[in-house]
Amino acid sequence: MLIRANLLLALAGAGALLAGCGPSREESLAEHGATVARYCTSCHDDAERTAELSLESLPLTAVAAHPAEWEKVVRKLRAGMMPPVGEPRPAAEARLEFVSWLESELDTAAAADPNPGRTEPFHRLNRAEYRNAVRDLLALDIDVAELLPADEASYGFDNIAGVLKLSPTLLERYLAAADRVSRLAVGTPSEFVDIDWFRVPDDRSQERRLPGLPFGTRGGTLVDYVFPVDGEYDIAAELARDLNEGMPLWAEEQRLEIAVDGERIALFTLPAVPLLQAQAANNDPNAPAISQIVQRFSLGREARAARNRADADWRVRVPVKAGTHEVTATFIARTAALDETARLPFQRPYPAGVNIPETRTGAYLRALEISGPYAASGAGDTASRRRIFSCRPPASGDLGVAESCAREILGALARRAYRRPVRDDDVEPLLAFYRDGAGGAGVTVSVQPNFDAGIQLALKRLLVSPEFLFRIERDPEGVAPGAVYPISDLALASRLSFFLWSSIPDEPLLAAAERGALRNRRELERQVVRMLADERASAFVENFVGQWLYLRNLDAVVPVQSVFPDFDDTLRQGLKKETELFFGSIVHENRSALDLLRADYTFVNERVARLYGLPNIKGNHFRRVTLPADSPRRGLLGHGSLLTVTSYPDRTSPVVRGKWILENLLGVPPPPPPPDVPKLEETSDAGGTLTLRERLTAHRENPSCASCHSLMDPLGFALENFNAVGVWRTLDDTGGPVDTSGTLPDGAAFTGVAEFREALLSSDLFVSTLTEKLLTYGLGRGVEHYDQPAVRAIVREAAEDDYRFSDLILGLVQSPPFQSRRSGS
Amino acid sequence: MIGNFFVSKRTLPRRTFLRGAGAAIALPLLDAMVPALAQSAAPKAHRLGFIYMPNGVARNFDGIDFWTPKTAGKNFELSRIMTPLAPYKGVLTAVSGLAQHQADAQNDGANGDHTRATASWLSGARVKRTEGADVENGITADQIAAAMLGQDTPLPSLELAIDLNFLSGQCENSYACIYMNTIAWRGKASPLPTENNPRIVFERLFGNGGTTAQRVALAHENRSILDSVTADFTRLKRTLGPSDRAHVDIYLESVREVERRIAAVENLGADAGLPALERPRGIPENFGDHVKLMYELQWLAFQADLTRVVTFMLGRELNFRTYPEIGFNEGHHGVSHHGDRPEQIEKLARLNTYQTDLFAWFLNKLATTPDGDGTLLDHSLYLYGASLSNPNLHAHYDLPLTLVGGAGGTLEGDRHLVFPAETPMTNLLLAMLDKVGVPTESLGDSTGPLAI
Repeated sequence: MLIRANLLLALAGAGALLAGCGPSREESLAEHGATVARYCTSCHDDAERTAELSLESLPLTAVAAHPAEWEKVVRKLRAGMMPPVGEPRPAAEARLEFVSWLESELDTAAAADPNPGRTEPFHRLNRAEYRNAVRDLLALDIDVAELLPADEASYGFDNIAGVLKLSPTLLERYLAAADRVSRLAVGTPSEFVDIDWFRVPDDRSQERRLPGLPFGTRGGTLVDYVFPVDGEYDIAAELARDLNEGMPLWAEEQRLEIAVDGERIALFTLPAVPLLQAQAANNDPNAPAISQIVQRFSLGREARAARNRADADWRVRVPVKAGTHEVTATFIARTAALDETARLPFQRPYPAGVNIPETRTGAYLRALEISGPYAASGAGDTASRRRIFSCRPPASGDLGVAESCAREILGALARRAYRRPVRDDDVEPLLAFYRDGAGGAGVTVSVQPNFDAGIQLALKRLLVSPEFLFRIERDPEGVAPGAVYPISDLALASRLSFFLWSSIPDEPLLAAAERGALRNRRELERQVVRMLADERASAFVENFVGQWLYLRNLDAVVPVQSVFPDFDDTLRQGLKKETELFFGSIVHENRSALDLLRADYTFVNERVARLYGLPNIKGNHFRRVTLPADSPRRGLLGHGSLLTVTSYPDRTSPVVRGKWILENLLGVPPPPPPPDVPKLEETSDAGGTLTLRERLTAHRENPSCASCHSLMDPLGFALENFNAVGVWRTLDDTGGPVDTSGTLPDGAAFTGVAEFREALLSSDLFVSTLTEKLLTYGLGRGVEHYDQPAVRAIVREAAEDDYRFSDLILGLVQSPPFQSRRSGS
Repeated sequence: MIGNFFVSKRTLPRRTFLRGAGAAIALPLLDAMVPALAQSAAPKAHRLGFIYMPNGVARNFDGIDFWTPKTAGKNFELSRIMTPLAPYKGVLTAVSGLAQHQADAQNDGANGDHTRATASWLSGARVKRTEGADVENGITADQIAAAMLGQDTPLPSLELAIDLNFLSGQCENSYACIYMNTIAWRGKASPLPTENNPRIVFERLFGNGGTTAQRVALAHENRSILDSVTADFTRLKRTLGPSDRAHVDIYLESVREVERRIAAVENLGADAGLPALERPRGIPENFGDHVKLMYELQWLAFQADLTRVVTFMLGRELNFRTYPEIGFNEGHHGVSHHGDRPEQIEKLARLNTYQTDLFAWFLNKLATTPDGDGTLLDHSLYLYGASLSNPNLHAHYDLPLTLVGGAGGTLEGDRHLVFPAETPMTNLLLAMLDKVGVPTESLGDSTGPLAI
């Protein structure tokens, strides 16, 4: 049983219960009043108003009348941040008793008069949601980054309705995207040839076989490409050059195979440079390494120029059926004999430049280009067409019958795209474009191409409909301004699917909503469990975790070559995958959210294992490994991905890491300093002789810096045993021993990551913060003070079974902010 | 898809002209879009540009300053960072002493210096401290100009950038990310998104190709779709409560603006020639290549008179980019907090000079392109600078700013003007608007146009 039927009752009851036993209300009031007077109002009074908060005129008898202020107090007390370390502080027990009392006051009032807040009426699909919606609507995978600009983020996520605006520029992009998507889906040949170019990252090693590619090969790339129609296509390959755009010289010939769905369609050869071959064969023990030979050796000007053009005609034209096919370009692996002589100093490949030797031991692929169609021969039979064309126009050429088929097709598409049942006036505008596209009245539409053209234009029109591009939540007719109402079942279905799938509802969910079944707790629970198990839930990991934990930033991180010569794209993708697999396991195995910090396992492949110093892990594939009790890799804090994205390219930053911990694990972003602090003073270190810790300590001596940095920096030092790419170390950048001592905001001291992890686990801030992040992401709006009772209720409920992940999700989707809404005023 | 993690993402693509053998693809008749180029571009049409350097410049307040010229007035001596601009000194006016007060903390708390620096640079307004839907700034100088100069061009203005904020947690606390992602605001609540992908910019300027007839047919098709979408919105509006209807009006404004742009495309001439353009494939990995490509697009847009107003951000504040091609291997923002260490300031100087080098490359293109009775540079006015001077202190005063371009003969070059400390930078913006024929009463915290 995942959800207790008495959720709301329990919420109301918890407050009542707390208020009802123990001391009388009068006694509580007197006691807590004394606490406030003794510890708080010396700063937070009407005269000082420190941090713009005065508790002097906020009577404890009416806590619920000032929820915004008291929720601030609750947060600071929970985190142990107030009173500040160094000032007189109540005992921890007294502090927790007071904060629990405050919470119960606030929660009781909220249960009696819940405020679910108001989501924006228009919630534009962001880029990831658009891509997924197209995939689920049309069975079509598009590269959305090519079609639409990135979305603005707020509150840490890019699905926040308030900032997802519609500019003219964006509308232009939507038009262009609709044109392209509708043509790809229907298979309408475009007027001109499309050219797609797939760049292989420069820092991806191509020395070995890559996953998905055949044995006996090395490097290259694999592309799942959507061929829009049956026809001929050009596939071309381009080799990587050195830093001077020259083609490197290799002692052995380099052969590149191009294949479609595993079938070779071309084999291109870059000739060997013979002298080099001879030198290698001489096997002179005093000969320099191959990479240096390559550097020393030079061709004549003409031969060099010819070699630089060697791949100019690496292009092959091939007939391909419409649909998605796997296109690969990969090198035939070298013979083993030569492999032995090739030394690989670093994992990351370095092309040669001036005074920089070549470290690659063979040709690399720079890009794969696919263009077409040439000689299109028909729309073919694709997954998209099978999805769209539920009927065909009659051979008889009867316009009426053709149109009713079009009506059926467009009605079905609109239902999914608009995420609700459709009426005639939804389909009519689409039909008008169908008629236009099919050639207008009087022209027969029995011919499939005309019928297709009609559907394509209607689909283009559908893809720019406001009802597709926006999730629209309307106040019900006749509702009083500012009143609380349950959102419609259909709106609830959309909230669920965009939360868990970043996409439109599927048919079962839509049908359940239409039946009105989602208000049934059991049915809702069933749907959520089904959705979390579905592979579309990978979007939740990708988008929620990608942003909460900054995992997305990893692609933009380029650790400095000279300091981290082994950090390459293969490792980068591996680290990302580790965290995705790990978070996925918490979700799919319905583990405790606390396991995110303390799990005794993780997922590694050879590269990641080597970074972590885990022995005997070979090969590219990821496997689950159990970590010893004393392993620093337990839980997220040991993940190389997080440690890398919270570092500078050349060194660690306790400040960045500390800020990340405060915001994303403890939920207490560093406060803005008081308004009267002087302008930022210089932090001068003209000699440059101080260690990082010393410099940061000096920095904090300035009060304007200290107010934030005294919170951030000491947290970040907990992770100083991990360098800027997550490698364990005991000496810091200056060569001195790493000092990992620090303090939590409540003053508790720790040394090292293990103690820090224990401290995090013993506070309840982590699960609350995770819940707030989930709520922000799930609602697409910032979490406000009036949401706090709901957050606490979700956490309290989930606590009963050790914070199982699905309990958090189920509690969230049944909470007032998710289920209801306040009408406009 | 978490599956096959090394599969190439289609991030850097497409529709380039094929090189080499077998390039059987017809030039997609870009020319169809471009009005007679060199021949008859509107004479003396003003072009206005703003180039923003993130994270300040290489200087402190203690004797090291690689930006500010040592001498003032006529025939001044170029500073180290400005050296690459020597060939254009005749149309260059360096401006010192100005401040952007609205970037200062004042009562908004000390964090947010980079946010306010970006957002207030061209608005001189105080941004609202919020992460929500209620973002607020003032209209920016470029958009005041675009409302006038951009009336007859397909794009009223072009907003370009190098970094795009797709990163998490890189915005300052309690400020929405948008404040740091653009320097262009069409209205108080209408930030204009920037684009950093050269290919997308190219397609916005020149479309997907095709013949004139195809392009006009597509424009026609898009226009009738927008008509239909307008009807959708109108229908939708009736189903909404009164407080929600305002949203629809804002969306309809966007629809109308796109309709205007489509009409401008339809009205463009069909018989001009353009040199064979290579469609950019995507975002180059190297900073210099990327910047050059973005400059090239500005040059093309000016040349073809597709737009007359451009903003261009050479990076986002707070960015931790490295520039390995010049041996700059630490994160930019980290180095900008140079702690007065000369070797750190030296690194910044190298970077700033590199940025200026790239700008000079662009100026050379403008200077060698005939336009009406002169060159594009003669008819352009560019503001090049930053919203931080000494980045170590987040100082928003004595800002590094310089004007380049003939401004249609209204601006005398080869000068270094030093204004009294604390003079609002917006006064310079007002003066610029005057020079390009868009006289404006006031802008943000301005007190009157500077005499320049």
